[in-house]
Amino acid sequence: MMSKKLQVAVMLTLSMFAATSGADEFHYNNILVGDRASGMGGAYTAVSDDPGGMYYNPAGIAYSTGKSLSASVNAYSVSNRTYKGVINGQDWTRTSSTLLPNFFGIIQPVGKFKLGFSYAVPDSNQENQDQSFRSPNFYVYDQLGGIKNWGSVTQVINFNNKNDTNLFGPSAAVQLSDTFSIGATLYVHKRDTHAILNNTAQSDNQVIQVGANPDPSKDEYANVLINSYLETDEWGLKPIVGAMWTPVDKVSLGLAVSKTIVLKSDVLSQATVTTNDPDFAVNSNIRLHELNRSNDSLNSSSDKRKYPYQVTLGAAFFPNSSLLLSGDLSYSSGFEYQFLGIKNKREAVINGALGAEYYINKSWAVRGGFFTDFANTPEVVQGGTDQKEHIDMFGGSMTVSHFTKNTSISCGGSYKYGSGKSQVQGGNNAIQDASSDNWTIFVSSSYSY
Amino acid sequence: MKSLSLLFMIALLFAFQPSVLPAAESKAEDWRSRASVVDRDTYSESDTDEELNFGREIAARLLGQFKISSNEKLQKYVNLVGKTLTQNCSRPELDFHFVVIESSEINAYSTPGGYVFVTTAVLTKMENEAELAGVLAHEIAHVTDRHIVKELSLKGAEKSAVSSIAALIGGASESVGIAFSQTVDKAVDLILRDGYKKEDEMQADASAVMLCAFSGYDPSGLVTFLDKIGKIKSGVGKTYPVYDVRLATLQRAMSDEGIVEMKLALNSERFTRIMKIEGKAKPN
Repeated sequence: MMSKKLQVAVMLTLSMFAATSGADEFHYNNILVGDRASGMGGAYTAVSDDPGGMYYNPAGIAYSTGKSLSASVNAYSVSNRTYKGVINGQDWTRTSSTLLPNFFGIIQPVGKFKLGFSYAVPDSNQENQDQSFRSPNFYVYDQLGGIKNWGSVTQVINFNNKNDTNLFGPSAAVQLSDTFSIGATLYVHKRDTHAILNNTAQSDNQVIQVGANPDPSKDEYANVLINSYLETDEWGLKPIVGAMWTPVDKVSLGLAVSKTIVLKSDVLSQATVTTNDPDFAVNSNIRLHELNRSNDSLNSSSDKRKYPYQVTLGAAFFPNSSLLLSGDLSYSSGFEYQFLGIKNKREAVINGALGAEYYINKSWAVRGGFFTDFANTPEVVQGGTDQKEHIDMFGGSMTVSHFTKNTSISCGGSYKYGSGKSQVQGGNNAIQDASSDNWTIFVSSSYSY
Repeated sequence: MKSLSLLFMIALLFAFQPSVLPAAESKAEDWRSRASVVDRDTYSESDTDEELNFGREIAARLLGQFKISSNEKLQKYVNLVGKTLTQNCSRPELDFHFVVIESSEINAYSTPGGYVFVTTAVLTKMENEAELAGVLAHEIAHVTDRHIVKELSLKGAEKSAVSSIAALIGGASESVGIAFSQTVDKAVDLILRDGYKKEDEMQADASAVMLCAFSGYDPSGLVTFLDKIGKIKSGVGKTYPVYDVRLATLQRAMSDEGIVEMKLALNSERFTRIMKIEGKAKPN
């Protein structure tokens, strides 16, 4: 078999993933965090008076009741993203499913302060994908810079991707007056990613002669294998500072400001391309994928990702002990950074959330919420290449909670959906319709003692 | 830079608003309480056990700070008056204890579970048994209405399957013991330094006059005592709320209950005799 290791991967139809993401870096509400907050669509900045508040607005835990309170959430989350007609009219679908401990938090009063510790997973992806495509025509660059048609091929994309963001750290809050409190959380940010992409294509017609002398019994069909690997190990800090103010009875306003600062980033990447077609050629104008590097050795880098400033303003109304209404507006700033030689640009985004909580009686409560999850990428426009996908999403959530004297158990779920445009083939100005959905079911519990 | 400016402006907005707008009328903790907590007015045997343990611990802490009066007859007398009242209280499962402690502060205290303390100083300001009954009944009401228990969300351990599962998922652990100790500290602070909520004091006053009336004591005893204490400029425990408001609220409550005109026992002579015979309890 003729094998050739190439410096830069080049194939037209195999150059997928150019503008897709390993994790969902293009949205900020990937998984709702917290016990009550999840049921209320994440509209929790002006409530925040339980362990979930350490994530949304630490000033709120100053109003937590009970001697001590712990809460945890376990969630099963499934995401689907479909790019329409990517390969010969066939859709390409990416699916991620993950079972994760979404949140754990504990609060205890110490003097005038409320101190706490929490652990949150705001983003987690786990993809194990195999998908095959049939294409009647498959084009590759030849050594003269022209385009060669392999005819019909069978193409297989195998993609394994794991991407988890974990936050853990202490919180403190204090009431400065009957109507005003402040608080802060200092999360350690830990993000791990592992992505392995195997992308193969074998022609049904294009025959490659193996060996110096013609021998039809040894001929092979043209094939190519692209393999790429990316691993990142990222450490940082995410401080969250918050304030809670009661302007009038039964109304609460909350403000939370946060930013993730990456302190250390270790990145390993590798890309190999193997083919038996001697005419297969390099064309460095075509970027195959952000993940791919130019050779088959491991490349290390300390490139750091950037994250936005996030400012969330919330309002909540507590008309009586059975009803609670809340709303949040969250601003995430735009930013740019270079990562593995590629410029990443994110635009400022404003997301909104509305939530409600209603106690049917002292033992049962229902919660519901609506939220947006807008893309932080620019709109995909005609004529451009390598544009990041832009999918604006809308979602809802609901939980049912049962209370005993010291405990509560909640079950519920959330669903979000959006459609937009994508450009998944690198160097190609074709634009695809794309859609994305996510559903999450979770069971949570809180315990006070 | 634009982001920082925005943050700064929002921070300024929050920083200055509390001082220029009127404060909320009630505590945020009250209206933030959800139905699962505020309507939970049933208490199990384990809750009472926890309350007794808790009260005993607080009483021990208080006795570590005050000296018990060595006047046995006075102790017995205060206990007799107290026990008379508790015959008619709403929580017969509690065994009340009444203790006279030596202190120059005009005050009385009670702990969950039924430990009631009156200072020697407060006794010197009384003129009859009805006033003593009024003060003791007020402290008894704090206990029977579970003011500290509710304020600190004190609960006994649950044994149900649901709560066990929830505790397991929720991560309950050995920190329960630590939390108990911290809560005792908080309760001691509440009794000696911070005081009860205003509405709890008013409720205890209203319950106290009813308890006195049921027990045969003139309900006006508490009124005359509070009126007297309200005019004293120094030496009064700082945990007492504003007397004018308190008296007005109490008289309104008595009027609502139709006990304003009720003339029951004052027992002035017995009170005076006991106090004289026992050499009048003097503050240190």
